[in-house]
Amino acid sequence: MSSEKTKLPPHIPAEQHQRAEQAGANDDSIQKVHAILLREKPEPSEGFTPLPLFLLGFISAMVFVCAVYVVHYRGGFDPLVYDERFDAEAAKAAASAPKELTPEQVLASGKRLFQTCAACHQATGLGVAGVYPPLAGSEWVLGKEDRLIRVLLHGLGGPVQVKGNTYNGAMPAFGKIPGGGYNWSEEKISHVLSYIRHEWGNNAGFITKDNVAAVLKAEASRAKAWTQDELAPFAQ
Amino acid sequence: MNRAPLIFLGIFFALAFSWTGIVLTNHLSYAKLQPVFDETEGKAFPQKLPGNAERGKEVYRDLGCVYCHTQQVRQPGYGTDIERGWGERGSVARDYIHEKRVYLGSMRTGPDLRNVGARFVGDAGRDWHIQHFYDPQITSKGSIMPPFRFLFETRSIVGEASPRAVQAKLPAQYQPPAGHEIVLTQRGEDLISYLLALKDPALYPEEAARVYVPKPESAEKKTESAHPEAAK
Amino acid sequence: MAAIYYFLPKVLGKPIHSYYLSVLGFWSLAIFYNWAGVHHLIGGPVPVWVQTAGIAASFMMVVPVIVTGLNQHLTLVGAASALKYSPTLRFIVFGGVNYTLTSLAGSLMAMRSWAEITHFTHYTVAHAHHGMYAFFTMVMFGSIYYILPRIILKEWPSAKLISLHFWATAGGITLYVVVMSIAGIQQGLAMNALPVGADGHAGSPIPFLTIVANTIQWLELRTVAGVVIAIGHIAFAINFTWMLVKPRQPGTSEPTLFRHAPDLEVAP
Repeated sequence: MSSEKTKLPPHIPAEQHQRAEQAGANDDSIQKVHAILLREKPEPSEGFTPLPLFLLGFISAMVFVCAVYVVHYRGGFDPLVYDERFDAEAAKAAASAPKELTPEQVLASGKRLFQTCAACHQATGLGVAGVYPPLAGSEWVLGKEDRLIRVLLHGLGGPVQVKGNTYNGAMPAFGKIPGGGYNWSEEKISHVLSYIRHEWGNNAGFITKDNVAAVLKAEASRAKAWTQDELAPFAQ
Repeated sequence: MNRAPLIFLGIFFALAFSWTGIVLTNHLSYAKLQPVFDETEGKAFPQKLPGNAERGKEVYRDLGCVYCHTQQVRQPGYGTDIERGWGERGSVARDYIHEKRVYLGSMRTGPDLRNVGARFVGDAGRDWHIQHFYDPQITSKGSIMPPFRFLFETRSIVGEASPRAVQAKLPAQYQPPAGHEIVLTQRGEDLISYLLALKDPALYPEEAARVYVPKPESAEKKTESAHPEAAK
Repeated sequence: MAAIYYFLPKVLGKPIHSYYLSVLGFWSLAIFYNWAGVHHLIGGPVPVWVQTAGIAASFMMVVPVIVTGLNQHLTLVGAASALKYSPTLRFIVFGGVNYTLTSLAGSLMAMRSWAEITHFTHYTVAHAHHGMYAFFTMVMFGSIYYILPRIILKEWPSAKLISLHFWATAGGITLYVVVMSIAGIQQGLAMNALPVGADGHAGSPIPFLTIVANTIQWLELRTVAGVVIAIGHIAFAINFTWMLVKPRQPGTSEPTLFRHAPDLEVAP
């Protein structure tokens, strides 16, 4: 406003300056101040259209469906249940059913376990030429069970002949032996051995967990990996 | 706003409702889970991590591994985690009772790591991790994981070469100049200790409450559905 | 959400369709949304009853979403031509529509069979960006376009830049969500498939690295989408800096609109 003050004609007495200023404010600056407000719409308000009836029906249906869902899949509100298909009766039936696995289940379990072995021996069972020996058609796999079980339990080191080629690697120990890393149970070892004896055209007998347990007991004091020569007596 | 008390009550009720449902009830339901003693192993599971692995867990957090890797095995019959060898059973709450922070993760840009310690074991496992951290392409061709080369240090050999030098495990293009050696930093050592210790080997009573076992007939179904894929 | 409820009627100069719908939407959201987070643990290490409760709550989220979407849509009906003029409205309506879409997709993702495929994949990433960017960020941009001129008493300098900002971000995020959803579904299906493996038997999972290799092309498209979004952000930054630097205009100021609005039908 001070700028307007200086623009006032000099002949107007000082006491009238005040009024002149007010007159000036009436036009321009009030317009300016109100322009900001003029562009505004009124504050938001609410309409009061009632709820459509179908919506009410829809919500009721949702509540009903969800309630049924919760009741159906509640798993007994049991903190130990992790399977929504669980119900006490089915569990009882499963518990009373014979625990013996079918041959298919043994091979399926062995196949899962073989994921670990496939890192070296490959999913094809052919190994890697010059580095990891093949399992498909291997005389070690198809031959005497006692030797094969020992290889898996304690591992195998040093040069080894498979299908006429020499390999020189270190098969790790998978059995429950002192210092062993994998600590697979007798059952798991029997599954994976049964699997490799039935895969890729191999056709040798199943190995049971009792076979494995017997070997483990016989070699209870052994901790280090076998060599080819040490295993020779078990091949007969 | 003349109904402030009503709105306050309503909000209080809504929050109390969900708090009761997802905090309190869960706490009462399974906060008291105890370790289970395994007769054949003679140990109680889950086991606490050893100290260096516990430090490695901090490195795991620090490097943001959780953004690309989960630590939870899905339940049998749900996804293919078990078929992939990521675990022998689904993860359960009991597996995590010793962990203050869990790194469940929500994205699998990389594989699940809950049982990585059962897949890579001992010295061979350690070597694998060393190669993989130095350059993931050495062990996993086509991986999109970045190399974590800052977990290693190339230094000049002063006096005798360190017994902890790792360059012998790396391919030719990564060999340091003569008179130098590559060693893992402490963080690298800790992280690898953690990954080697990360596994849930034990079976818990929870397994008795599963009715789902992948049966032969469901395997057959999958075979049928897979055949058109193979025909293409 | 509150920003939409304020700006939608404010810009249109028209009341929100129904008070009752708003109230219903608010309270059902307040009750169910807290529970819905559990659906990230489906198939994971929590007891099954927790998962089931989370799924049911995620499903009940359909109620507030439908109610809110209906309310906002019915408010806009008859005034949709304002979208041609008002930048604020365009951003906010884009955000509102995507709120409905992303929430319905979220409820769908809570279904066990759908989560089995999409969880742990890029689909989850797409969903998170859909909610965080296409809904929240776009609404916030709209709010900024409305609030800032009123605070600093200057108008946005360039309608063209606002337009570029809108189309680049809207197009970019749409491309992003579509691309990542496709990538995620494909990734999830491959993860769960058990086709005939290298050993000639069914039941072998597809190797993880093969799946990674198949996702890379989609991740490249994701980068393209990100660049487009970044172009929009640069347009906004230029416009914003320009607005701060330029002198305040004397006299009545006109709001910056995409095109001339007949007798100032809308506030920007």
